[in-house]
Amino acid sequence: MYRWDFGWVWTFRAALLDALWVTIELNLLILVFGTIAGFLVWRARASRFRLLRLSAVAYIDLLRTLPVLVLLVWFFYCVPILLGGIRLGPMVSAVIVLSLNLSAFTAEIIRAGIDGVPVGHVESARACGLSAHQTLRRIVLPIAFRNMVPPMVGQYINSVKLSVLASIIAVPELLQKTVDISSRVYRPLEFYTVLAALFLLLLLPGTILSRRLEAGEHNRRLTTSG
Amino acid sequence: MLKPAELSTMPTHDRNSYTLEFQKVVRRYHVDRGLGPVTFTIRPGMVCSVIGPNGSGKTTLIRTAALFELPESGDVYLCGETRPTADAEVDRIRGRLIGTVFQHAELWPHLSLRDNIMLPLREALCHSKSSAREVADQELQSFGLLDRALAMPNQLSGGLKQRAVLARCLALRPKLLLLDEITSALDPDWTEVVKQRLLSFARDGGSVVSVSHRLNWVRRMSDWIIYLENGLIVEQGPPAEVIDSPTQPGLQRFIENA
Repeated sequence: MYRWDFGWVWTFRAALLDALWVTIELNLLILVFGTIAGFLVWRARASRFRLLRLSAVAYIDLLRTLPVLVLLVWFFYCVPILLGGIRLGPMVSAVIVLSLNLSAFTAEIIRAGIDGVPVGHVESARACGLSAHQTLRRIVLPIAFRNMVPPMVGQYINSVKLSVLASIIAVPELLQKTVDISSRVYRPLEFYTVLAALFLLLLLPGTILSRRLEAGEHNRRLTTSG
Repeated sequence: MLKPAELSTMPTHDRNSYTLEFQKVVRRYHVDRGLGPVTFTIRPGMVCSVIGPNGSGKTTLIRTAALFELPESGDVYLCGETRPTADAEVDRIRGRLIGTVFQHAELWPHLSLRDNIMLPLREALCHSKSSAREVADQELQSFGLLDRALAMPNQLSGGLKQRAVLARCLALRPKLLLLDEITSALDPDWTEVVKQRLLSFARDGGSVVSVSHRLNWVRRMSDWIIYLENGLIVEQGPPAEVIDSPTQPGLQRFIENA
């Protein structure tokens, strides 16, 4: 019978809290940069210039196809060589790669949200004399935003889960610290249990919010079409 | 702009006295779908109804007049001027001259009833907030919607929404109203109110072009009727001629079955 002993975890609480903070910091940066980049990629994808449009599609397809882990390792080791020796550091590399990954999905969510705006709302706006820009700003984006929020929350949750991959390039985040400490004190079960609990605490509110938003969206659609 | 060649062929035709004029306008989607060539004129104060079977080109006619479709050939004139092509000019004309209510037009779902009416006034006509609100409340009042000014569209029935969409359009004070099946969800009482409202709009010098399947409504409201079949005007004239004594067999059948 295995004897659980969480005393070791308590001993290393300061290190784990530091790692938790790194995880939060890493994810906040990814969320901000990934969303901004996603918006820019969507603008390119919806551009009137063919070359820009095709580049955006290629970018999205490439990032949605490549495994994040492969990209992370490639970026961390190959980009310094390509840049002539400039090292970006584990944290910066992780933020860049995970933001790029998030941006590809964000761009697609924005596109789907905007495509989901009924053309009748756009035509009504144009018929009332609103310019294309006013229609986008005052009608299309606010309606699309409501379509986008539930999948976006889901994508953010996914992105946080993917962020543990940053441990592979030694970003001192939760998984990396857990592996490091637990291998030193030979208590992997306790440390991984606490790791799972921490991620649960971190993401459960988001998951519940996502489900509520989806249910709300579903009800709204029923009442709108009824 | 008047074209010298047209002036010589139509010496009595004064383009400036019409709100809307179609000259041999063609807008086809396939060989058998769309519109044209059609020629007609709408004067200020005129209420014109467009009738015809499904797929006869009624909606294409409204969309072409509302500058949402570019004619393949022929000319569209609005208040004597040729149809503008520059985007900014089209937006200006749509906001100030033409009011369009499309079939199945909806309120914008993220805005309250009052905000739905205020938004185009503020954005397209640059009204101040207080003046936009004043105009919006006036329109809501006349369509019996003032007590629901703060309601969101998903809280309203189809009929209320249809009234609100019309209110949104009339609030812009257009000179030409283009209406596609706007009474489909209205009860008889409100259909009558809308009719009175449109007639008073016409008495004040506005022009109405309305697509409707309700022949009874069409007969009581219109002073000109256009009957379309396969994208062509088969018959046009006052209700007494077109509805009461139709000459074309297609129109006779259409009226009998209505």
